[in-house]
Amino acid sequence: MSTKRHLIIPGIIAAILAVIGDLLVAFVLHMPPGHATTAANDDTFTGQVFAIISWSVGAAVVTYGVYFIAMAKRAPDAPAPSTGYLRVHLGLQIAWIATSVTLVMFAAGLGVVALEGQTNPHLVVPAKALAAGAGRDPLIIQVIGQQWQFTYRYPQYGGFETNQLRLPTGRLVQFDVTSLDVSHSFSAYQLAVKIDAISGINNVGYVYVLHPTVIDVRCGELCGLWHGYMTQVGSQVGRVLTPSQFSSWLSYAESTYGPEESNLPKFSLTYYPNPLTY
Amino acid sequence: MSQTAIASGRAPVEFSARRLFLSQNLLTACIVGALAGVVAYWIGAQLDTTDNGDGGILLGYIVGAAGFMITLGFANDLILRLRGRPSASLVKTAEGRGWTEYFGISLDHKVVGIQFAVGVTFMFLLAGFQAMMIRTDLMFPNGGPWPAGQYTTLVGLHGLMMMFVATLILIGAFGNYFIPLMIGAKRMAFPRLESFAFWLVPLGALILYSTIFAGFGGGFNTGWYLYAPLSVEARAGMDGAIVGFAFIGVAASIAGINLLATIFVMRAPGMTWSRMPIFAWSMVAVEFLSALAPPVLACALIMVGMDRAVQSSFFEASGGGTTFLYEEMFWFFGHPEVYIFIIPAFGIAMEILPVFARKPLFGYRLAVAGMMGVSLMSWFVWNHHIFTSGIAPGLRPFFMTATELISIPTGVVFLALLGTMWRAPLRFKLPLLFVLALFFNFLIGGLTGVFLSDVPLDTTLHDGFFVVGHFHYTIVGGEIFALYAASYYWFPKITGKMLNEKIGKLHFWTAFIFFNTTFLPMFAVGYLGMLRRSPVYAANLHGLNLWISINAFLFGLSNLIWLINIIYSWVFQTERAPANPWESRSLEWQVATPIPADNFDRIPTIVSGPYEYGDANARPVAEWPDGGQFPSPIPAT
Repeated sequence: MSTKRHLIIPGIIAAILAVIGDLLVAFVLHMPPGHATTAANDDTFTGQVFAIISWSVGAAVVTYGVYFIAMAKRAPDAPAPSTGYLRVHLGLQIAWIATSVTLVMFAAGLGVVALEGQTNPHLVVPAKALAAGAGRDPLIIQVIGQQWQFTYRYPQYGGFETNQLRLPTGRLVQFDVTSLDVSHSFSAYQLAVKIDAISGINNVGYVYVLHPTVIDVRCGELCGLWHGYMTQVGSQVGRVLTPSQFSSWLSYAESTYGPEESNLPKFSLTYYPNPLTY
Repeated sequence: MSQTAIASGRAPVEFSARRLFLSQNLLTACIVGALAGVVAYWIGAQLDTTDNGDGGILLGYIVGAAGFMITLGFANDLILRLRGRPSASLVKTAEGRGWTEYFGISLDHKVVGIQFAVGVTFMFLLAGFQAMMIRTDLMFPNGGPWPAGQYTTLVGLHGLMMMFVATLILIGAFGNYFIPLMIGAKRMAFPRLESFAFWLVPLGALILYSTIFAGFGGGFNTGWYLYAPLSVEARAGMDGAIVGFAFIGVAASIAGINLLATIFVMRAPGMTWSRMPIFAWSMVAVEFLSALAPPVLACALIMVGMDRAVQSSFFEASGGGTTFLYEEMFWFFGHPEVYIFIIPAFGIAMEILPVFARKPLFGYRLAVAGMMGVSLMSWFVWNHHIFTSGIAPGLRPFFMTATELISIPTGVVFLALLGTMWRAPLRFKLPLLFVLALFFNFLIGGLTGVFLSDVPLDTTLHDGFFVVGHFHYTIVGGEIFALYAASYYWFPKITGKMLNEKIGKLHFWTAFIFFNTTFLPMFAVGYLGMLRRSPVYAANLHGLNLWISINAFLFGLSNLIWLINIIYSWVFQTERAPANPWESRSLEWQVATPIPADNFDRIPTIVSGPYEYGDANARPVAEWPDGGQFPSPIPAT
């Protein structure tokens, strides 16, 4: 009887703590990165689910630990009862492993489902973005990392290049990310996008924007002396626009940056610095 | 001769490496090493096919290191054997060579253990000081007192140096010192290699720090992971980082092979696998990683060196290479590496816990299986470090699931903790306090790891401060807290004196509180988008960063309290510690303090497991060959 009691009491305390914390995570805490894109939605939701699991597991382990410590503190010299000298308990061990396997497989399943919705192994339009209303003709934006800035090319609109990132809501966007020199990482926080920019490689990522937002772009991969300053932050640099604003920006950008196109290398998925042309 | 001496149980009279030519000591080794390095640099610079002199610098470091090692005496035995002369003895006399022994080659595992402990702790404090500098810089959102290049070098030096420390502090210090004692052996399997592994460490650290003098501006700008092609293009300081890192890799690999061989072949009679202390088991689990993972790193570093010095093109896209090759090789080493840090910490925690719980370790076999499972599975998760690099999309679900699965064997360790604490008459001494804190910290470190294993969520958290918080919770909160626990637990055995309890309590509470107040907010700033390795961050995170920095300084100070305690208790305290102050059953506590030169006068026969606490009918741990018991039975509680 007393053995069971010492298992049940901390169990009840842990359950209460878990429920309070989980309700806070679910309804009060606003998990980043927000809801600007379908990917951000996924990250926010997954983060919430993991926070709930972690809090519950953590609360259980810590409560049992603290309870056992408190018991030992209350009667420091009392010899442990014979049940205390348990070396092994097959049922408990199996239950422990079964619980952790269940939690882990749930977490893995959640991740795989979100992953299948976000990316696609065969460069087809991802299912989740399609469901949200995306067409099958993504807006292609080439992101070119270089020491120490990102520039963006819009190959479907003449291939002009700018250091201002603009994208519309309601249309699937395909980022083709590459680098001119060392490895960078195109990290757009509000979009929940992080794609490494690697020379000789074209890395593809998709994003479907739901709401207009400012985009903070930073380099996520250590790329040399001014890596820390390779940031493009603030509404003048990166923004999501409504479709009509986007088309007027496009015509402005084409007239402003278009004349420079002849000086740019021909559009390609990757570029190599060629010393002979400079 | 040495083998007969060991078998007969008599201490041989002759000690260690014979002198071959000139006076062979640390001073001459440094002088010859430096001269050899300069000459090799001069020759290499003449032969160099590039404009930047990397060939000369690399050659200088390597030849200088070889000159140092040979002059110190590591080739003596080989040369003597080649000349048909008798080799040096493996077991030292009771007198030894006094304090000079700690500044040269020693074939005594206890001396090497102390060399590791003191040397690596020094490196730990040095790298910790750099952490303070990083935190000072991060008190300002737009870059602090140090210029951008200096900041990046600081981050790289702190990261690399702490990698050296974390790889070697538990294995090198406690593994070398206590494994032979715990398993009833007189020495390590390969004492010369053991000493060789140690001397690579100060050499590696010195070469790493020499990078701040190399070339214009000095330093290197790649962080600890030396990603190519940045590391191929980086300035001259990079060469030292490559060589230093490779040396530590070799040291870890050698130490791994040595400990594995020792545990496999040198256990005392009766020390069956199921009677082996859990710390020895953790060494078995970790040394497979430590022996096999660093060679992959060494190959990657050699390839970077070749790209720099002889214009090969393993990693340069314009020459047909790819950075993926480096990333894959690096993390194939890099992920087993983090378990090299934490598995010995588990071993120490589970070794200490039953002693203070006065109960058998709960689920011993499952805990062993857990550690071996972590060790095995750690080979199959490395791609989770490069989820955003553009790996084949089909690989991601596999590596995500594998990463999450590894929490199952890790969780078993927590079951051992809770099961052992269950209704135990706990003795709240300092080692136990640190073990409990370790489990609390590692719980947070482990749970946050699940966030990072999830590919979609990882795109938000990758390369950010959430990752920094996570690995500091596992490495500092896990491994360094195990170091604290082990230092309080084994200090009386090593020095014959107790660490001061009052100062220790102060150390415990400051370390535990300020560790958590430093690193817990890092999860928040990371989640809010702050990226690593960057001195610039969003203005709205300024307040949190100030808080983190101030608490980091306080955590740094708590480490000084630990250092003061060690120096005070070791040097100034006169009171001797009891022979077995914690009433442990483990074999290392049954030998006299100070420990005899060859550990055991006669090899004991092990008749029982080490964790039979509280069992009135438990047999003693070991018996003498002549029938005496070893030790006399310990009271039940």
